[in-house]
Amino acid sequence: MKNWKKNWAVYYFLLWAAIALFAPILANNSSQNLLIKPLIPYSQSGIDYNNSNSVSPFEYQQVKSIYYRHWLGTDKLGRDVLSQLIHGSRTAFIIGIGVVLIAGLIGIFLGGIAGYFGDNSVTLKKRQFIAAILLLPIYFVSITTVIPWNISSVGSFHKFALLFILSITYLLILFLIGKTVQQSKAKIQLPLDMIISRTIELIDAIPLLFLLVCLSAITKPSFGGTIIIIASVAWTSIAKYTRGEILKEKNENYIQSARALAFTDFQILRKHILPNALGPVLVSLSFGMAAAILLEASLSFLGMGIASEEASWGKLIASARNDYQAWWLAIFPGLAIFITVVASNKLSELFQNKN
Amino acid sequence: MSFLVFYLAQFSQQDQLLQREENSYRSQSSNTIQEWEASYAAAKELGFHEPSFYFSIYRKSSSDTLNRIQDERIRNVLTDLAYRTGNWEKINAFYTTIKDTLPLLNSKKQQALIQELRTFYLNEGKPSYFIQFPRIRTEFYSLLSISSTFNNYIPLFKWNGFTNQYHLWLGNILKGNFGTSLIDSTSVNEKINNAIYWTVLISFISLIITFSIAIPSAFYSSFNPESFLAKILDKLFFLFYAIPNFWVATLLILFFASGDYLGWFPTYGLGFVQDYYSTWQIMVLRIEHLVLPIIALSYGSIAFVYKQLKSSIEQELQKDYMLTARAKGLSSSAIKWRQLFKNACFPLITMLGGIIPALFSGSFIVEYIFSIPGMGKLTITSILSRDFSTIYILLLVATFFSMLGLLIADLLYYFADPRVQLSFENKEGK
Repeated sequence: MKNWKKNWAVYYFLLWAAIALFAPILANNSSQNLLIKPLIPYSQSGIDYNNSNSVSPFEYQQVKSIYYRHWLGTDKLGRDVLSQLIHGSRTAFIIGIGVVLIAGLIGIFLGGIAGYFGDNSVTLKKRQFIAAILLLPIYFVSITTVIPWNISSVGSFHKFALLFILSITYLLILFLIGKTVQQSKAKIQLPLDMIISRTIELIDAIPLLFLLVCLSAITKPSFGGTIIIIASVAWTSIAKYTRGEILKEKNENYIQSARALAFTDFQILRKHILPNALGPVLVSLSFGMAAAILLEASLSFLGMGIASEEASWGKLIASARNDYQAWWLAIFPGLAIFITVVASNKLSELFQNKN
Repeated sequence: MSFLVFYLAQFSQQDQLLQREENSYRSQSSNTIQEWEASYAAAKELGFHEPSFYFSIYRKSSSDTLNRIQDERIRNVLTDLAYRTGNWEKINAFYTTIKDTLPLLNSKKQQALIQELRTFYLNEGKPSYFIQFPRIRTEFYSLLSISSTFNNYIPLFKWNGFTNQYHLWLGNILKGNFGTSLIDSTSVNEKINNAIYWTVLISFISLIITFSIAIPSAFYSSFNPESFLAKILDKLFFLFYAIPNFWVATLLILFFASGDYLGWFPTYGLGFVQDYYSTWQIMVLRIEHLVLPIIALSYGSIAFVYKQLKSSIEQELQKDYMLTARAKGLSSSAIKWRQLFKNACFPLITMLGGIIPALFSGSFIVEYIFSIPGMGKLTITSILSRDFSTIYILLLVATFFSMLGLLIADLLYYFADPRVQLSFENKEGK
């Protein structure tokens, strides 16, 4: 972390974040409404009728002054490529960060549980186990039918509050049953690691893009939907990585001694394992970001994912398929994706050598 | 797995229904009643009027045969009303009265009545139009007078038997009958049969090319790490690893296939075979068309295999048996090819399992760009035309093949490496 100044990826990310944040100010066509004159006087979907039909960046352009020049050319409809590139970086940024946040939360949580507790450290007393098995169908029935999921006039807060109350009640009953039992024999191990690992394997077995495309067929095109779709498949690699890392840390001597000093599981996780495993987990997060950006671009390329009026690098490349002589439509967004992916990988080096 | 796919398919039922109606019933539906009948006929044809699973669990205030009401908005309004009043029998009577009243009206009044029912909750549940009809009015007010919301918290359970959607769907698939497409009513089996040949062919060629380039170069660069060529290979494959394949495919078409730059290869498709072509001519034609797709498909996996294999070789080089072999005075080529090669190549088998889903994913984009009529192209066209019955079968087939790949990789590993034991063997040994 100390030598972050030497890593070019850091500067690239700062630049990227700034462009993403200020994209509506940097490139728009309503210059009179703003105090600052925009750098590029074209919006992402603004059509320049004088320069339609894919004008090359080096070709003669019919513009008022050099300020209005299309620096990276235009596409078939006459939209400015640079402006689309800038707004596309905003899309990529939102998707990348969103996926990393959601997939990271799920992945670190599940991977952490699987790695730390393993197959045999979470145990249930026999009576508790039987109660859990018996109550599970009742719990399942109550969360699916008693909660009015399909009633539109009931607010979603109400629904989730009911879900929360029911889940807490279920866990509380199990906890209380556990308290009534005195003998500590006859315990049943809960194979958490096995359950989580099998789930990950199942998801990984499906061809990734196939699953994504099928999922995007049933959701409406939007940022939120795309983030959730990508995150629902991207968490597995983060979970695998976290699990492996925590398994490694768990067997270190200092954890054994912490346990001998009667630290609780939570204390050990928070104070000892988490700080040590954080670096490698951040590595997997930055790889996850690269993967998310690539997947979003692939989806947009195929004409799915985000809404059609939003610009995206993938869409820009897709537009190059329609006129083959327009190399600038393919080269620039492709370079943007490529550099961002390489930078994400480079950024991971920052967390790898923690010394 | 089939649960998952079926569950996903349930989300798109309304769309499927609309699609089917559009394709076969649109011309007939002049008024609302006919529309409803057409909708019910379409649902019956697709089997949607059956219960969806072996059993159903529902609120006492609701009904288990709700899926027979085809209009989604009316269904929502009715469940909403049922949730508020808690009495399904009354709701049912209300709905039947409306259905009975409809044929007596002219089409304009029908439209107005249904429109009000659909947008009932947008008007905050205050009816203005249908209280003009005395029968509906009495039913509606008797409905509102009873409120037994306690029924909302009583779940009911009903066993549906084997005539349910899931059973029929899975049964057909297991029999090898994948149903018919929603769009052009051709059999999905036929579509997949035509498509799978090209995907398997391309993936197989790409797999062979991947291994035949990645393995020698990985060995070369880890044995001669200081050489110029090794450094070039390292840099090159790192680049390959990070470049998105749809970009490469687009650039390949742009520069090597379009007439504006280098028109060496055909742009897309597989070429048109004339009757008089000899086998040789057909082969040349196909190869011409497949060069660019296979390049676009292989370069990523070449980089992946190279990277993995190289790190595996480097690990093996540091192990003790290498030192022993050297101490015994074995020649360096004997060490490399007899001892190291076998051990370093074990990860290749594992990778085989991972590469097969990746190739499937990759072929997706490549087939789309180069218009090769394989599985990927079929999926995209099915999705863009919202042909759901094909999509979910394709998802199932692709998953099946990937799992088969993983299984084969595991079995190969078992036969190749004597150290690996199956779990039940291990128990017997102890």
